[in-house]
Amino acid sequence: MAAERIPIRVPFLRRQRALLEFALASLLRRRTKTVVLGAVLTLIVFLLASLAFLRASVRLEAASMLRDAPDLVVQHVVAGRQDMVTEAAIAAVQTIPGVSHAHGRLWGYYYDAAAGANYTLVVPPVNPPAQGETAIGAGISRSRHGYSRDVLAFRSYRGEAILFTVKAVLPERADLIAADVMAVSEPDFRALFALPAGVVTDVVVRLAPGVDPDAARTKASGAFHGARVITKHDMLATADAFLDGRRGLPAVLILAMALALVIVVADKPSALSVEEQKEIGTLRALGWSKMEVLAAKVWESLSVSITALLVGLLMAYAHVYLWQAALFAPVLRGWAVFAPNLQLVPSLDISFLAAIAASTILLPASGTLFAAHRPASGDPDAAIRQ
Amino acid sequence: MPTRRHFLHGALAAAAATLGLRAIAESVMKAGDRPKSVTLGDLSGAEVALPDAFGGKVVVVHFWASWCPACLREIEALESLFGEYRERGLAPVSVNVGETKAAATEALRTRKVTYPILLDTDAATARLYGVRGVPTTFVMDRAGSIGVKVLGELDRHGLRRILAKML
Repeated sequence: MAAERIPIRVPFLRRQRALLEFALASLLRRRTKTVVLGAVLTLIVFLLASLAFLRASVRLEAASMLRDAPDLVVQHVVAGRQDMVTEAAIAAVQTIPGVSHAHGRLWGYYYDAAAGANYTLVVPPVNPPAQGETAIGAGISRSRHGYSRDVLAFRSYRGEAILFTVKAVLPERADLIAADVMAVSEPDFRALFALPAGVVTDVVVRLAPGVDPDAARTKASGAFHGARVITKHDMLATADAFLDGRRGLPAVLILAMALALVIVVADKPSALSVEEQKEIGTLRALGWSKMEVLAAKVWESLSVSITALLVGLLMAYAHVYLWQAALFAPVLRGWAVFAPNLQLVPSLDISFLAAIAASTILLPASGTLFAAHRPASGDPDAAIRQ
Repeated sequence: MPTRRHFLHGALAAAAATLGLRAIAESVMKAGDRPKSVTLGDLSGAEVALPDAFGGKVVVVHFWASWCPACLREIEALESLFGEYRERGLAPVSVNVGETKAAATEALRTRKVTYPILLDTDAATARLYGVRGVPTTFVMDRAGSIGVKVLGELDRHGLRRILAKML
């Protein structure tokens, strides 16, 4: 039988402060259980928030990387594979209405058996290196311990050694696009791949302001036989698909973490210990209302989950931006030998973080309410004597 | 009786050793550096101090492995150039990385090599030079400083072009 309650008017905030103090004291009495629950929640928040930070930052990098991409790239496809583009084809693209500028590019991949890696060789249109010299990406430098004055020896199409003296290492901030890049001169590029003068790898096109890229694409597709046109939109979609593919494993991890969260929450009703049920019965017997008991239990849940959320977020921020997402970097890098260093710019995916916060705070609080509801509504005497 | 101070000293020594090993593991040799002398055994069992044993010569230190066809082609090129430039002070040395004497000998069984082949069975010398793959070649000037580091396979013409500047 509950004791008769003496109505005392206590201001709302003061009452909540008293309930919070009681909740904290109650958590301290069950220190081990509190610490374990808090650690599990912190770990879940840490992993989910790390993925949220990483995903947002990599997307930001990809978008900035493609900001200066050409409006169109025109390739020459023969029998289903990419072939070289002739000067006549470049001239044909240049005459398309709406094309502001079109020029050929020289680039290609070189597989180096000694390194077990692919280099991306490019001939910069502006300030290319002198013949016999190269500027290498920081990924190549790191992976092969190659620095200024070192020589990279490649075998040409005709089997001769072609030597490139390293004149510069590209800055690490360009890593995402240039980790595996080797800038070389046009004569070296043509000698290495045995390319005759007058052909290029593909054509890059800048459109005049206001020109519809899709309309230009249609016209460029007919500029010469076998023309294949890639728009800037296609490039962005490909980068997105690439990131989505690389996020395959993180997606599995998110699912696993979400499942773990659900298990923690679902376990809560059955995890209300006899001690906790007796405590609720005692409080009710002392005259606490059902709402006060439930409020105290919610304060307990909020104290643990908000602490876990803040600590988990801070740990995730440090993990991604101070330690370059060391846990997930291998997933992102895949098998790349000249993998970029992740110099991530902090970026927030507010909706993702809000979802993490909501599930970390609201789900455990709901579980606590559900678990405490029955002992708080039942006979206090029965709860105490069990 | 070990005291807490002993334990602390031991822990500090272990940490220092770990950091030292890490420094060796991540050692990098660049053009202009002077590698410290190391002593390695050759195929006959004799010990050779590298590069001190070749003082005053242009030393080509070529890191190789028996499973690397490009390395074996380079050994042939070095042997050919050794005959050509020996009198002008060329001293090639091929350092086998991480393999047994038997493996190195077997790989060279059908090849005539008259210059020193050294064995770096624990790859410590390769780590000291910062070698990240084979073939990697260091050409040292007569003063013992690295003049050129070459990553990848050189042929006779490529080697000759590099040596022409140093001999």
